[in-house]
Amino acid sequence: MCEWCYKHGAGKKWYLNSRNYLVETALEVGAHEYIYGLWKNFEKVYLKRVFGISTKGPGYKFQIPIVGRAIHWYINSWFRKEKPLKGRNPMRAEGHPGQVVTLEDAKKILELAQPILRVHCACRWMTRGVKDQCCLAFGALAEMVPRLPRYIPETGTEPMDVGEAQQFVESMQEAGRVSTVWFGPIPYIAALCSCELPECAATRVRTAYNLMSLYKGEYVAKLNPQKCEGCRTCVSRCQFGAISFNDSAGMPYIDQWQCFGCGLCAYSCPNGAIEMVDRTSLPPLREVW
Amino acid sequence: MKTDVIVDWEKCGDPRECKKCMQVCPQALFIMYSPDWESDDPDEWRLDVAFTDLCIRCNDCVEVCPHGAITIK
Repeated sequence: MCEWCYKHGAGKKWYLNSRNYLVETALEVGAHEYIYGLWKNFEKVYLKRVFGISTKGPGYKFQIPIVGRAIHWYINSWFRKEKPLKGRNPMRAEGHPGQVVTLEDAKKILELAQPILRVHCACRWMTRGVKDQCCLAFGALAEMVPRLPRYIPETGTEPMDVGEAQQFVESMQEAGRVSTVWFGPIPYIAALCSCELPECAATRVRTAYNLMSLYKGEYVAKLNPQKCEGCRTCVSRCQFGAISFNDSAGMPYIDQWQCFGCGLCAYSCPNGAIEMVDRTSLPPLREVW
Repeated sequence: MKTDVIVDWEKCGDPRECKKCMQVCPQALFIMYSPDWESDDPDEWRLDVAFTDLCIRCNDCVEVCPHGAITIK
């Protein structure tokens, strides 16, 4: 259980609390206006000036002694912002963090969300000029996206049914993409994405700058050496650099400190040798999100 | 050493028609945008690089650009 589960999970994981998907919740936090503003200005969020300071080369700015740490802290505070309930600034992605989820949890999410619309990935269009229908928009986002032509898929704006969406997410994981669930804004849940490095904007700023735009998942991967046959299939699946192959042991080394808990390695293992264990069952990792 | 990637918008034209640099960049650093999304005006569309500190200075984008619009400093 992460901090969002305690605050917005009602005893469950935050993304399994059906309240966070309701129209009422969307209206309470002004999700329609927020999400429209965010997706409309998606690319400009990166290039905007903040208090007259250019956002170019953030890595250089974070390296400045003391001031750099203050800027880092300040930008980080945007993602977790919960106040005001209505009217948070979409240009700063205020209250718009995401979290990595396993296939099993992604399927449960799709049972709660309504309607589900497949849309073009905003990140891939912005960084590669590729229109790739891999993101699933829910509720308020599914309502607002049809107003933004660049995200409308060729297949139209017909919602997907639950089984179809679950199958789609499974095919995405098979292809090697990481499922992530997104607040928009906290506590309303707006989307389930299929992310990849380096294109995914949030994964990129998390891995490159350690900004908390994306939280690690509720699980971590753990190897059962008895079952592992050393086929190396899992090694190529990890996007977060948490798995390398250890030749002397003849099996992979999974670094739980680096693991984002996406479950791609466990899913790919032909022998079921990788188990996704609860992060909270490992005391030192409880605080690692 | 600090890296800056400068795109000359005059020379670049409409990035939606080309996308060569975006696809060749090993770090996927180029960002394509328009100040007004509702407009389809080619002059409105621009390319820029935000995370210049992640640039590895391989010069692939400079070489691939047909308009000579990119400079790395």
